[in-house]
Amino acid sequence: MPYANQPTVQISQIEANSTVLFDEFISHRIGLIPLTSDDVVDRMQYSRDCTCEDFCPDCSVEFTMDVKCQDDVTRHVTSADLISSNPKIVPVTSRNKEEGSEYDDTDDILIVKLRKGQEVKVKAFARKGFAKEHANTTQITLYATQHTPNLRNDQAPFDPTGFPNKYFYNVESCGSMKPENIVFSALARLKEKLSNLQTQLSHEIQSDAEE
Amino acid sequence: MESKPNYKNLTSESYGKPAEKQNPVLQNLVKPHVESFNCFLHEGLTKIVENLDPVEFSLPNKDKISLKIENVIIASPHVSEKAVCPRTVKVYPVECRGRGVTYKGSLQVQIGYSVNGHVGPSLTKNLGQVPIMVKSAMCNLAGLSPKELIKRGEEEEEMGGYFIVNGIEKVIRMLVLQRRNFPMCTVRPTWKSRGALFTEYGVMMRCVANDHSATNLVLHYLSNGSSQLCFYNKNQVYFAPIVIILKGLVSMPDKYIYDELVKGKEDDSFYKGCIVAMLREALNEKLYTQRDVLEYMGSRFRVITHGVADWKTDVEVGQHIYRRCICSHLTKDIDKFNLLVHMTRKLFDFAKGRCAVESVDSPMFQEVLLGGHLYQMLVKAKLEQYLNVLRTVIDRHAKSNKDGAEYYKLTPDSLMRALRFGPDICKSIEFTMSTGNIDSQHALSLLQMSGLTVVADKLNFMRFVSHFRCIHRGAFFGQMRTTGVRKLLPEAWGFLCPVHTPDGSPCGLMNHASALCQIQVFTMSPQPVLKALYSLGVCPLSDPPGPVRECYTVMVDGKMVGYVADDQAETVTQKMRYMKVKNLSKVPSTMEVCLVKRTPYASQYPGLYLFTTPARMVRPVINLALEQVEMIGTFEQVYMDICINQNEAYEGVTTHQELDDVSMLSFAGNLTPFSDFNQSPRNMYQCQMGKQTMGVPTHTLQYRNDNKVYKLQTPQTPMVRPRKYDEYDMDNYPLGTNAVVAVISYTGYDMEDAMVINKASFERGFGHASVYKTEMINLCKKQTAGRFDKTILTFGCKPDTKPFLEGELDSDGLPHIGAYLTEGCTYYSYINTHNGEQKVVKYKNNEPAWVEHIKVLGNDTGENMRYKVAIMLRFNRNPIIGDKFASRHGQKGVCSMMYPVENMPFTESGMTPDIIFNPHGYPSRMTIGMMIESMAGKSAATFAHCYDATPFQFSEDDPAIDHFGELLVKAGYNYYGTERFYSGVDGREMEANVFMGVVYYQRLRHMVSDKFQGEAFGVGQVPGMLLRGWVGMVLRGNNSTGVVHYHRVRHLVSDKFQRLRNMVSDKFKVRTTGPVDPVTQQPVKGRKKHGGVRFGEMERDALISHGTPFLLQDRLFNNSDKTLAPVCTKCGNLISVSTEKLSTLDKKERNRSHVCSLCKSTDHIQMISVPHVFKYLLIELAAMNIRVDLNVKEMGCD
Repeated sequence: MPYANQPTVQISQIEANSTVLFDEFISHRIGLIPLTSDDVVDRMQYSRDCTCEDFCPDCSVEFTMDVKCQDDVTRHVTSADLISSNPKIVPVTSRNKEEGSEYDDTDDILIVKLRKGQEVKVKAFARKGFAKEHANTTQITLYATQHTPNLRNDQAPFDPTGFPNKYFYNVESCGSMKPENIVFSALARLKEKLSNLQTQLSHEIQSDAEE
Repeated sequence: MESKPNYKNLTSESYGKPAEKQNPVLQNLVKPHVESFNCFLHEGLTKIVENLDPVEFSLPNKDKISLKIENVIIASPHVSEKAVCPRTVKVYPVECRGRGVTYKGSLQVQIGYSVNGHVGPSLTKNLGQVPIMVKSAMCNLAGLSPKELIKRGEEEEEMGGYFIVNGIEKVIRMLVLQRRNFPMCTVRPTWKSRGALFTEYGVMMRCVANDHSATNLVLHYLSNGSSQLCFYNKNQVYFAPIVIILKGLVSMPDKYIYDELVKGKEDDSFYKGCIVAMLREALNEKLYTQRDVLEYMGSRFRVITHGVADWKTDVEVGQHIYRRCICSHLTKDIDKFNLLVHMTRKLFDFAKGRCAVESVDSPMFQEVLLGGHLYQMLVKAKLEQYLNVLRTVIDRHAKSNKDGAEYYKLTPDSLMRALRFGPDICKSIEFTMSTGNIDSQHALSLLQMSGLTVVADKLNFMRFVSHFRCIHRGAFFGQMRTTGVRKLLPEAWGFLCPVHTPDGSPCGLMNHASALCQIQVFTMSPQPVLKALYSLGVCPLSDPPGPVRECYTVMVDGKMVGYVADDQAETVTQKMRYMKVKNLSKVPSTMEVCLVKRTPYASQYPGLYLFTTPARMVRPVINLALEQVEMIGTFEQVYMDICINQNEAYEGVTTHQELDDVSMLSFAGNLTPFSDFNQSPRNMYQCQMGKQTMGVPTHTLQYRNDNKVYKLQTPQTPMVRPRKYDEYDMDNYPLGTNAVVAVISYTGYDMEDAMVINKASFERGFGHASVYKTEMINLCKKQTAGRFDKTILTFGCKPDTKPFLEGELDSDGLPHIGAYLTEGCTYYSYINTHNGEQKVVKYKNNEPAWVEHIKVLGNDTGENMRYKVAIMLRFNRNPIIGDKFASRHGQKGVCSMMYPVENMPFTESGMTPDIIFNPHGYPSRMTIGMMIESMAGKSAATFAHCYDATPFQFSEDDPAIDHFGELLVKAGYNYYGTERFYSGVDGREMEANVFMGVVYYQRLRHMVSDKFQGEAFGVGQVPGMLLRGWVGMVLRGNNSTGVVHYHRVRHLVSDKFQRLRNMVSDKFKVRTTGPVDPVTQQPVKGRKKHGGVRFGEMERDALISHGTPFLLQDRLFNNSDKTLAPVCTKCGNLISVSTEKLSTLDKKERNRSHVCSLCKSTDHIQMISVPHVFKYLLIELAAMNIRVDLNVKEMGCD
């Protein structure tokens, strides 16, 4: 399935926090927030391929969150509190506020609630990964594939002996990329892989022949 | 009455704020416990004082001494007087839980004495402290509002009902006892062996005085037509002819006794003959008058009646016996006489087959021993013991008096001195609460002496509450071979839950009270009842309204109060019921009134029976005539006509109606959705499994020191749930997660109840959980010498030491909150204040953990806070392969695979299930409820509603499937809840439709990480050593790391020498490396000790039949206790060979040769491989002077 190889962005490291939820809990929640990645993702490096020691702007985007509740009212820490160092990579729910885009208006995603005196301070890095590794790097929420005849779209009479030659893909994005971008990027990725395979194979055959 | 379930928490504005009042529904669940303890505090203490016999004895100077307890006072828990500036003098339960101490209040008694009848001044003595029930009247939490409770570190809905003993919450188990003060016709074959002529017929009665102390009586029928009364004194059994006993009660001629006995049975010539014969027989004993009988009894019982003063006459001793042992629930002799007469008539009718047997196993004849009542009996027994010990102390003091024993006098001073040597009864009460054991001296007329208390396990809310609803039949019945006691009887309807009982050995013995079932706690005065009865036309015994055979006898709480004419009985019963429901003339609302009518056939012995006694089970039903709620008991229910709903009512017959269709279900049974659609055992399994589920156990984790707490980190409210879920506010303690479940056999990893979990669902947080373990560190225990409460050690870390400089520890010597601990890393450090040495302790557990929080604990006086801490560690328990999950329908399974989402099958809309459930789980289990839940959940998810899953709301005409099917159609789904699926592997459409919906899944606490046996390496943490395959041998020279799978079989066990009884433990285990038994050289058992798993006889048989001798040898020999042993081939002796003795320690030492000490030769020694335990056997045999020669030959010699 092509989307499995689809690069996207994830938050993976957290420095400190002090709330009712423990570190892992909060990092798990932040990790599940989808980030916009339409334009940037192809230019990003996998942090494992990157030459840097830890994280660098080439392979990661730094996020900070520093919230302290000073009022008597419960303070909701949401994805809006995540401050990105790269305006192109922000939580999907934060985007529409800046630019009235084609994406639907959505609520900010709740991370944790704070009572008076509680504080959460997080430094996080978003990096590229793909869904095969961890579900928080997937950018689609639903996908479906169907062959012909598609009962909804295809008006052609049903041919029981026919062989499927036409496929319908339904892809629903979590908001980090546009669905068409996802599919095209996935196809590009697949193509790249296949061509890699082809090159490798020809190298292999060549070296075999030389022996 | 109840509203439909809804997501009220989502919209409620007051969500998250503590309520004004606690939820009465929840509080009622533990009411019997709390109220019974209150009953002990309010009326029990005075009853103890009233009923406690004074201890009377003579001093050497012939002074007649009488010691008596005049008052008992229990105070609420407060801090010790020595405490250093406490913030409040009150002690709250949260402190006791946190510090691991007992929540107790002081017990004070006032001891009065008299010398030769002259009453001396009473002395007040503080006996110590006894455990106090949480939320009882003496608890400092009593009557607090939720807000105040939260302030004091308690749950908002804290219910109490338990004791805190050494920081552990203990509940006194409710036990089933025989209904008090009711004579029962019983058949017991063992009675035949009680003596000559004894038969199996008898009338049995458990007489309980108003302080809950019980004595048993059995009126036996003898085959010669006579009757013997069996009574108990101090656990000893005595028999006496009933006529003799009767004579001792009234000072009347025999004619009077005869007339009373045959009243109403004048036509029964056999019976009359029997009575005459018995009366004649009694004359032979030369006991003619009441005085004769009392004197005779007194003279016989004086020796064994401990505590009766020597100056008492035989008659007085006899009266004492009558008071204590015969019908002890009645005080007047004439009442006792009338009751025994009634029993005699009942016995003869029963023996002649004119009335039916009454079974002790039926809830009709049962009551419940409540915690507070048991506590009262315990305190009484202990105070009795205290007085007796006090007597011996005074005796001893008198004997050792300096001026001679005759000059010892009891004065306030000498009594005060004696009081100092009294026993510590509070400690033993605390001990009973903590262990559940009572010592045999005070068996309190119970059948069992242990298991009286249980830990109120806070695994989840369902388990916690169920502890308070549990009613146990008694440990004694567990051993019984017969199944009669375990049967679910129709009489139990509405009182005991038919579903909520475990399967296996406690099945049917450990029951749970239905949710609405209450237990009458307080003692009611029967006086208003008597008054009402007489006003309604009941005539006293002396003045029957007509011929006695045309009257019903009226019995109130085991006392014969009169007769009512046959034609009036019905009206009297109805009027009494009316007065009870309307609460007129102080007739108690929990009274039972039951007219057992005469029938042409042998049925229950007729009469009008009324009960107001405590400890009875009662439950609410609607009285249709009065349109009011009435509390009914187990006895009367049998004779009542109760319909479940209006449709089932019969005109003119039905008098009552159930409050609810589900009123027979217990707390836990009520939480199963659609339980009416399931095969019944599945609902039982769910009741068990619900109690093992991980959820949110408590909201006060940071104040508690539980040994082990499981917590689900991502709980949800169920979208499909019974109404009771909301009633019980279960959303405060959720137990699972809604999961999309596809019923399909995919991958093959879902065989045999295994389930496949979507890896992406897991990564998004499905079933994520943690375990919290608390470690108490007490530095007192670390020092070798000195007192345990004073220590020279203190927590601390010097600023110039490595752990501090590297930030591992704080200056207090403790790790940082949130610190990650792995095996071998620094845990904490302490300093010896005398020599300034610092000791750093390493974290030893091989499982990594995070520090959740640390509590520094003080002592009772609040001094020295630096030597005791409780560290709570958090362990990760996110789902891994092998963890157990279950739906709410008794459908459990283990996760066999986390399947990547891209390989999961998907629907037309692109949805992938969270869980793949194998369709073979359905046909044999028939859990249709789960299918309906699945459909309901699916429509609930689409419409964002939550649906009612209360059982019995659908019918044949309005089936549930249709209801939810229509909803699914409205949502655009298939009517049957099925969907087209596509293979996740190749995208092909599947031929069959697949049933998919949303089911609430529970995660059970049985997890691989807690159980797997092997070198405890977590995945991915194997330190430089790869273990090969399932044998687990270390691959030499290969230092790469890899993943160790949990399912490998590492340790196997053999058992070859099982028949050698005394030789060795019969567990032979196999394992390459690890600890071995020092005697047998075989691997030890037990997971904790890193031992092996037994490779038993049957496993051995499997290998033999499989024809794999090489493997067999490997398992049972090579990997177990194989040793190379030298044997002498000449004499064939294995144990005579020893190493050569050398005179000098030269180089030869290294290659000493073996020598046979019998043959004195080194020539015939050969090395053979034998099990080490064989060598041990030969040594043991040699010790018994048996020599074993082995027929061994050198290879190649023959």
